[in-house]
Amino acid sequence: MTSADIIIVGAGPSGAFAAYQLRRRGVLVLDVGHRPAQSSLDGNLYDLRKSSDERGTTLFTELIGSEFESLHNVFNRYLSPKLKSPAMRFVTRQADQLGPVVAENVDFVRSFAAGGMANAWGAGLYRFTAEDLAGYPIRVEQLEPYYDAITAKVGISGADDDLSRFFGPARGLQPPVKLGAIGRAVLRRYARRRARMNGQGFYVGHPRLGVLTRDHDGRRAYQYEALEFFRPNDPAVYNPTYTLDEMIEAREIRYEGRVLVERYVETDAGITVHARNSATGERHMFTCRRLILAAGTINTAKIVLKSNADHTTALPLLDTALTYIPLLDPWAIGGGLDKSVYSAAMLNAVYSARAGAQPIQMSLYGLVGTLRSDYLFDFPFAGRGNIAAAKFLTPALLLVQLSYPDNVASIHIRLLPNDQLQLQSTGAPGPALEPEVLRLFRQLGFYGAASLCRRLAPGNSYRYAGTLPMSAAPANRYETNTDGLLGGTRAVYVADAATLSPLPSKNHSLTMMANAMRIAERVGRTLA
Amino acid sequence: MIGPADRQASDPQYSSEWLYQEANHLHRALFGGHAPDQVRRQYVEAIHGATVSDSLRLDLRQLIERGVDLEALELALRRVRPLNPLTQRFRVISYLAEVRPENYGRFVTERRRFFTGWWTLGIHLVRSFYKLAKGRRLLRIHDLC
Repeated sequence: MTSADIIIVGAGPSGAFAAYQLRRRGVLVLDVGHRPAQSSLDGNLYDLRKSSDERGTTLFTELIGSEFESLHNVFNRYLSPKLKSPAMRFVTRQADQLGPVVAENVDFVRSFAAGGMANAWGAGLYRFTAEDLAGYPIRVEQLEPYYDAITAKVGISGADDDLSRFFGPARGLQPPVKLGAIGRAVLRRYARRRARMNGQGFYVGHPRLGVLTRDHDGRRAYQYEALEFFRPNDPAVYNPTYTLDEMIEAREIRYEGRVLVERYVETDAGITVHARNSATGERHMFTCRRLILAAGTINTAKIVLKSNADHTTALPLLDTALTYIPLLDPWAIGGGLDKSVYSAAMLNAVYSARAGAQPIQMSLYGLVGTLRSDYLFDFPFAGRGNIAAAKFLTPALLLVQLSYPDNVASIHIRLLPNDQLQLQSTGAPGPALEPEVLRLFRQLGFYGAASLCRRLAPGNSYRYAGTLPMSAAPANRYETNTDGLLGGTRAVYVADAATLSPLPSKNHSLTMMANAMRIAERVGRTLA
Repeated sequence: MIGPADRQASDPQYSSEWLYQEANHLHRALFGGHAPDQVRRQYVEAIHGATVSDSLRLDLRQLIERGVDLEALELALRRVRPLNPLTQRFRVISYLAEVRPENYGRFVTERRRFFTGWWTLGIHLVRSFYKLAKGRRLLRIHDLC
């Protein structure tokens, strides 16, 4: 049996930053920890695709896959392009075997990779404002020091622009990633109509991204190779495994991989963690004085339910509903390829319709990083016309990802007697803002149609939260106090997004990490 | 859905020899030229390993042997059933072809070609209306509605 003062379960963004806060304090991180295979892609995606052709087989293997992984969506349930490419499959590897789920009207994705879903994130890192934290028992001032520490460690790019009022202070930011032609067109037209757009509650600006535009902390600046969808671990795009590996190498923490934690038992003597080897199934036990759960919102909830042997309680699961809105700039039809741009969100927009209403955040994408076959048959032409459309319309397409806040969980999660999780969506879709968004973008010269907007099934945002919400006075064993201490326990803490509720429209990754540091700091104090 | 395990080796629609030919027909319909040998082999492998939609009883082999306009049929089918075996197979061919260097210029333009873009799309719009009308007729003739 292995012992440690503090055990942290999970090495995603929350687990890694809880460990970072507690490094050199006798921390043991337990994690399944799948890692990617080494990619041989080197250079710009489009240059590689043009070049012939000793590399042909290699390129096919990297872009399509020896098992035809990139064809996943042709025959199976939709998977984000960032998760379906061959080299990115490790992110969701074994998820169904290690944590089987019965889902009703919910799409969901879980990761047992080191770094968790951050391996496939767009690296959006946003501070919550006081407005975002309304309803939380903590204040923004309590998170600020950790936001600053993470900004310094990770290297976040962005700008002090019209969105700072929603994104918080811009201190410590690197310059924003450079924009492609369509992004520049959005900003140019917005600048011309700023007063009018702002009068309607519409603001545009640069995203805050964990993408380096300058060398930082031993990592090189982003090279604009458009390979985010095919090559994991670009050193310029932050991944929590970078910090994790630094700490392991410096022996500041201990790390055990291939460990699937199933439950814990708390006694007067301490905490025993029951786990099994994710490869062999062999059972292991670990003991500790403090346990920090950071296995991800869904996995953490499962560990807690299983530890309580509770097959009746249905926990809430928050998830920001997503809509994709394709827009066309007629002046950009036939535009030349912008191959050297960041292929995730290049701009953000915020729509704050009325005073007091929750701001709605949008991420704006160009379609650069994916294969055009991913959306070829979404065009309305005959086959050959679709190929022409992919060629001439793609440079003119702006994809808006609209995220709705989630204040009242419409998904519930329950542990079945056979140890499978049941995810059930019961809620109807909320009011649709798509027509208003279409109207606003029309004023900027981008045109779309309500019939082409696509609201994804619940669970597709991959932004899960709120299964074990934080409360000033926890009312039951499925709430945590403001220090992350789980109700009914003496030394079991929750440090991931399970504690965050309600969920604003904004990406919660940075807040997850900052809150994990804050909770870890409190845990450290209890052992001082 | 028809999974790989359910598929009878004796089903002529799924024999390697036939799929090898089918790839060529689909490639010609989509790109206007013969499929390279490598694409055909990859297509056979991809279809053998996939779970193909059988939401529609579609004897693709018979349709191809009758010389049916696959592009027109696919457009009309896609309008009524977005998930159908013909669109699935066109998508497979499209993926396999797109990553080949010789097809780079079919999918990507690096120079700004504003007027060519509008002109080409205009022609394809008209052509697609024609193909849709033809495809709808084919759906009726082959009782695929």
